[in-house]
Amino acid sequence: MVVEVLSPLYEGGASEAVTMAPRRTYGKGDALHLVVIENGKPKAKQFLQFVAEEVQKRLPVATIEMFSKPGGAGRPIDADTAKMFAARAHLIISGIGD
Amino acid sequence: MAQQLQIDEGDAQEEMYARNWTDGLPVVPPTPSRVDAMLAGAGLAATEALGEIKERSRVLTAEKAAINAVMAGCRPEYFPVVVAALRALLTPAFNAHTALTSTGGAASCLVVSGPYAEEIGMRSRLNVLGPGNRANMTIGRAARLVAANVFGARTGEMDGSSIGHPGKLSMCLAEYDPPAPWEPLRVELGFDRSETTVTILAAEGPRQVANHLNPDPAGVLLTFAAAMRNPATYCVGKGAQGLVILGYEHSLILREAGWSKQQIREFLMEHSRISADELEQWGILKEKGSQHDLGETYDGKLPAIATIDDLFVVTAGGAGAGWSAYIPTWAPTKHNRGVTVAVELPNGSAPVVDDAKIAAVVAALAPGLRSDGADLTAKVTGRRSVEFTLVIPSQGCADCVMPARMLQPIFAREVEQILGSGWSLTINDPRDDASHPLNAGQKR
Repeated sequence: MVVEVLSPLYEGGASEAVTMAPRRTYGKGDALHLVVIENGKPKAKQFLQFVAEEVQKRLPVATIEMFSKPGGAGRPIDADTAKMFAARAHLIISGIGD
Repeated sequence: MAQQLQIDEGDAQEEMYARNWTDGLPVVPPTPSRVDAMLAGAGLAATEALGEIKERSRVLTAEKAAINAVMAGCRPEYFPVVVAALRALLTPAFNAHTALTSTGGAASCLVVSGPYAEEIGMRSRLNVLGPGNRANMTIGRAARLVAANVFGARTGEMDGSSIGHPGKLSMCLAEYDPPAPWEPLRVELGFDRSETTVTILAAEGPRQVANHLNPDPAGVLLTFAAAMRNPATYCVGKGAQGLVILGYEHSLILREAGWSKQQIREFLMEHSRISADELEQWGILKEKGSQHDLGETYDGKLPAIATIDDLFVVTAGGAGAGWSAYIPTWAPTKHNRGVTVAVELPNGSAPVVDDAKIAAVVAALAPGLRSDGADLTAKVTGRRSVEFTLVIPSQGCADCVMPARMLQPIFAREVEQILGSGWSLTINDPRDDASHPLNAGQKR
């Protein structure tokens, strides 16, 4: 005997459409601005600083900006902060987890 | 509308397990008729949005909640409680995006406070955190199934629990309303006594607190403080929330000694603080320069609980040798806070008290009337109202049976004892009806 059931899984209906921020353009020889977003976990800042410096050795990164999330690891940065970084950064490094 | 699938009934469990719909235990197949009945239990339309997790761009509809509640094994009358739990889960202060994901492995602990918990048969006494009660188990399970199936909170997707704990299957209890002057949780949180509320906490596993011999209230509370300041608990020294479940003997000792719930909270706040040196003695290093660096404190110690309002105290559990429980939340309050939402019952919904309980009330009251040649009937007429009718067949009986106004307190006592608190009652007395044959020729 066949039984009809309804799917319990999520099937769409995003609360808001999510779009990618426009990418900042750069030309050959331009100095790049690298933003690092650290989540507040122990030693996250030191680890991401190390990664940023390794990137700097390989790419023409002129400036590194370290940003600590005010809400800690449990909350994403707000939309205005995200827009600000999207407008002024060429590269952004972030990370999740512990 | 949700996608409909046709599966072979004999293979339904295997099919649903293979589709990753379950928590590892069998589920009830969510047929359209069962889902419709579940929605009707809360008076909700399928398309009604109950909340969202913005970070996941996902909205929960009442239909998806109902489907998962059916699968969990809920009865339709449980659904208003499930809905309140889910609204609480999806309140931004709870931060479900993180609470459902963290390596810390939190469960969604639900504390139901109010008369509707008793009405649907929730357990608040013996084995209150254990198995065996359908309402407790399935309401908590429904909230977890929604988290998994709608928001992806399952292993291999968005649940990164390193260890987890059994409460992640279901963790739901009813508060046993304490005797005056203590107030139940909902009243302490600003809700009306007649309301029913659900408080959700992102919880680690419960710690059972045993103190069998000490009759001193401070002694009992020091045992709780020891559980609360255990260095192995992640949030000790960081400031989180906590739920104290006072069992029968412990709450009795404290009440008889005249302690208020606020005094209990103050005592526990103070005695659950711990120094960085003591944490280090047990191998735990203080965080410095990170999100949980609390800096200097007034006494050089670090808090287990962030503020006095972050410590919830309820009474529950059965009589025994002196058992209680403490449940710490999984993260400091900067990441997550418990949320309380009132249960909304559909307009005009029928009460869910069963016929056996009404019969029990009549059985308790009728013998006294029958000895006078009268009888009694009863029917439920509203959500928490019951109507009695005195059956007085002859004038001879009419002179023996007490008038309704004198029966009222006797009936009220039995109703409270059998049906619970908050019921209103009316007694129809044919002697009050001048047109009743019983009153023919009588002057009253």
